[in-house]
Amino acid sequence: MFSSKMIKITKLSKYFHINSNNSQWLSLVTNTMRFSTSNILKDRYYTDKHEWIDVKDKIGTVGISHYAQEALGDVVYAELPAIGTEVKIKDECGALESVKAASELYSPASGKIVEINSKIETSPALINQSCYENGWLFKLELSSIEEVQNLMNEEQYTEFIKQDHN
Amino acid sequence: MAFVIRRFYSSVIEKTVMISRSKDVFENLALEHWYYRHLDFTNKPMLLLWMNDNCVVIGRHQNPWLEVNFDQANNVHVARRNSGGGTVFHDNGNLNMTFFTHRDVYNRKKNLELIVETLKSEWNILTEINKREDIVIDNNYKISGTASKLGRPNAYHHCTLLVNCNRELMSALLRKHEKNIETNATVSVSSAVLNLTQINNKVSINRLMTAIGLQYLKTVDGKITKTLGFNYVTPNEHTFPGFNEIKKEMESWEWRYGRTPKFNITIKSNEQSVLLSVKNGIIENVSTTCNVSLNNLFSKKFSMNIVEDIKKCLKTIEV
Repeated sequence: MFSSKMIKITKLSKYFHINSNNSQWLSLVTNTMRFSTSNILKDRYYTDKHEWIDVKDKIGTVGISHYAQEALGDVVYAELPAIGTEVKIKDECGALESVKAASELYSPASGKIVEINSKIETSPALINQSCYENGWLFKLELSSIEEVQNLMNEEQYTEFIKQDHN
Repeated sequence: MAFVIRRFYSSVIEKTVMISRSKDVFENLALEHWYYRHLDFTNKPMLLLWMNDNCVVIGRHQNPWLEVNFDQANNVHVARRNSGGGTVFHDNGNLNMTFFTHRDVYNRKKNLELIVETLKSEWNILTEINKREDIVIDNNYKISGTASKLGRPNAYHHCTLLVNCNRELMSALLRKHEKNIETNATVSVSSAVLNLTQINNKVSINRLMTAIGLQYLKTVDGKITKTLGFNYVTPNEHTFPGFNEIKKEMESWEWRYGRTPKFNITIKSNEQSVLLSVKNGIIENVSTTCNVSLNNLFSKKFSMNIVEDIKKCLKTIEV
């Protein structure tokens, strides 16, 4: 993520012919970074374990990807973390049960659990039917936005699935 | 260079068969969990064979009070495992097998086919894998139940295999009764079962361990396979640092009962009823149709004794 930001900045500096000693340049750098940060966080981000996270105002909503729900089959039970639990990135924080298999959930970022989707406690099938909307799992008050920026974006994740599992 | 090294390593598969010396369900579940947590099975798949003394093992998201007939469970341990699926009974006539692999090569069907193949080649016993991925004889009688746990990087599939199990005790412990429990927990699917010795009395646990272990070691997955043979293990803290802590957790009330998905139970007697709401195994709410104070039940650990006490109490009320 960091390197792609640097490329953007370099490209811009070429475009505007700015001298790096210039104070204008500094303000442009900060603006560009601000711009790219907010831009990044509008999207959904993915882990290599197939969870997704969508961030709004430091609150990340977490779910599993379409690829993951398809691989699991019909989810019959969702074990979610308790509200108030502090989790670290990659921590086990629950499990989904399908076809007699318990699949561990790993938190895509560090933070505190602030909400869980109570609908999936009674209808876990929502995870299969609507993994990006009604089938979200829990919300997390993030301790670091950078962790999310290091995850894969939609395009990278699509590529990751192709490479890893074909 | 990195590429070359990776290719070299990924072309050698090391296989091991472990046999646990313990017959204690909590020790064996702890050993299984220790392996899952501490080893990396990338290119090093492992088969663990284990047996337990009389016990009932419920799935990770199950309700023990719904699954087990506790009035029959004297001297029988009730354990909760980490994998999904339903409740099984174990005794010395049942062989448990855990197939550990990297998550990417986890393949339940392949493991079950290995068992089916072995039964056929060694004893000419014809079995099939059904839709639920259990092994059955004559399309109906279950001889093996399956469940699994999927994590990163490791995963495991484990299954039971009935050789000469005490079917009467199994049935007494697991037979379904109406328990008036309302829950989203995973509910077991009952099946008629059969022992392998009923088909062929030459089958024994020891012969099965040897036959399945050898078949496992000799199965080559299109790559160079190196076998590390059979090894006996005694699960203990010395060989497996951290083992005691996992065992303690497996034995704890919090894991076995406290992890039960929340549920409501209705207790009826003498035309009266009491509804208990139980979360994390603790009574959270009590409501009743009669004029009896049950406030002392709040925050108590739920148990079948409490159900019996409530029934007794309801019987004393004049209607």
